[in-house]
Amino acid sequence: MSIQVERLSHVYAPGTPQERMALRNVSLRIEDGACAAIVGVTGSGKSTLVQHFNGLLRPSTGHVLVEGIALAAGRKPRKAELVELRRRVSLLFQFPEAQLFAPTVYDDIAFGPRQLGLNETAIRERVLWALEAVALPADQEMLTRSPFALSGGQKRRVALAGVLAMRPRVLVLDEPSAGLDAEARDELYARLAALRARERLTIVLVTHDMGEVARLATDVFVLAEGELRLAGSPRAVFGQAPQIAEAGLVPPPLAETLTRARAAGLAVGEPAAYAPDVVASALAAAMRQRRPRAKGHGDAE
Amino acid sequence: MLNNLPIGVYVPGCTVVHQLRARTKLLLLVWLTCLFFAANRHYFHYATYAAAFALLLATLLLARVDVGYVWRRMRFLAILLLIGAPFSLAWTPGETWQTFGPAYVTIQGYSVPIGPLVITYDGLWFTSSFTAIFLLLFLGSMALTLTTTPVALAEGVMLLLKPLRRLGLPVEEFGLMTLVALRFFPVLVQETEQLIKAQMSRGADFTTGSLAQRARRLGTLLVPLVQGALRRAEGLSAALEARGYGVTHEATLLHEGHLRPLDWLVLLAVPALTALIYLTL
Repeated sequence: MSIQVERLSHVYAPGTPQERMALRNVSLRIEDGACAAIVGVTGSGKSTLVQHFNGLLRPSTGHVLVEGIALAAGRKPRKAELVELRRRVSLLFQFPEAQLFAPTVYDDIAFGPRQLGLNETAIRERVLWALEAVALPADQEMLTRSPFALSGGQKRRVALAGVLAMRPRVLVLDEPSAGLDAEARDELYARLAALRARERLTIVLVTHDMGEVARLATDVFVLAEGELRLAGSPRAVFGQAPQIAEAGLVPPPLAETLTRARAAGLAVGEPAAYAPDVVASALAAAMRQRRPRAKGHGDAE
Repeated sequence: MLNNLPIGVYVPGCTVVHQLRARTKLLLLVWLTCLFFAANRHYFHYATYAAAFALLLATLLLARVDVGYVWRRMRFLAILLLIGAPFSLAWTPGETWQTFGPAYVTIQGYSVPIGPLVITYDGLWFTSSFTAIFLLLFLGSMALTLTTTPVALAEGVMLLLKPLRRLGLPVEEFGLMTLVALRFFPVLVQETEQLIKAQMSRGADFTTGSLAQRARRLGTLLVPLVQGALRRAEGLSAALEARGYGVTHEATLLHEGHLRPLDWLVLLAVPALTALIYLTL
């Protein structure tokens, strides 16, 4: 079990007129190696929730157990616990390219490993590994460039490399594809899927893009107004279109297609991925099964 | 982390106090200030201060402000004034009220005199009245900022300062600058907070370390912050230009319209009432 959240509530600015309850009584579990998508509209509490995963926020009530480290309301975690937690859980914020600061790409990616107190050889090794993991050339030219001179998509990859260089067990990504073009988005999804498979990373994806959820997630959690409304596999969650609409979200079109096909009596299995070609062949297979006579007729001719 | 900054204190509401124009509230605060200093010349007449306190308390209650919250914000000032009070009590010259001491303390066999402490009537009056003035003005400014959006406030100040334009002062430009600063200050705070969190997620530690280490860490914050601010300024100037700023003669204001009957009523009644109390009691 990678992440376990029990009856978690979070109140911002308690005791002031700005007091606001951002999370109410949320309980959920994320297994090791899963790719969990946390979806919800702006202000639904999804960012607040994931900031508990590496101890940036502390529970107002309830508790969170991440990679064996517990954060509970009313108990200040020890510093060593927080350091260990942040080593195991990396969080990449929205528009991370705006958070680059170092004079060179190398220094920016090396920031995290340096905080861990590694020696320069180990740091270099990690930087090169992280660059490779985000498909950027790990050559001298790239390493000595200013991150501000890169293109938008490259900047974001450098930022992702910066958190990967921590070699986390859990990677939390807040809207990782926001503002990327379709090609860069596909590339990012492919990278994340590969990383998860190769490094056995647990990935937590914060998003309101249901297409992203369909492509990557093994588990989906729908938040609305700080409450957990739906939880389950993408198929189970996407099947509950009215509840999804109630949370202010739109199911991905391909999932909607499948839901309607099933409602019309087609026995379509769960596709391996919510990609157009995969869903189309799953649908075709189901239709062939349903109309064997038409197929036989074709053979006779 | 940054959520204890004393900014953004406005609490939305739609009470009578919220509906008053910012100008009205500003003028009343100016009036109270003048009144307090006038009342300061009449020794041991607390009636004006008591009346102002009742008025401000009524305003806060009328605005449905959490009085406990106001007190928590005021506590620090009150403690500061309490610490300062003995000094101003002891060192104000004038007609003597009481003399304390001198007291003798024995240090290493020597008898050292402390005092005598002379407290004058002037000391008593000025200490108590200035404590009252400070607390009341703080209360007044809380009543103002808790019920007025910062933007309306900036517009109000701008309108009140408008006559200065005849002297060639760029009141409107200054007003726009203030408005922009007010608008983007929370954004900047939020961005800083996010940067701190992002770097904490990568193992940075902002809470401990030597001064030099902390300064270096601030550097890692400043680069992306300044970069972001410049990018935003560029966008903002383009947006202003696209909306025709500087082409027409005068920009209209979003919040500060004409004074309404309620404003006039309050503007007349409050000074009249307080002046009456000041003159008769």
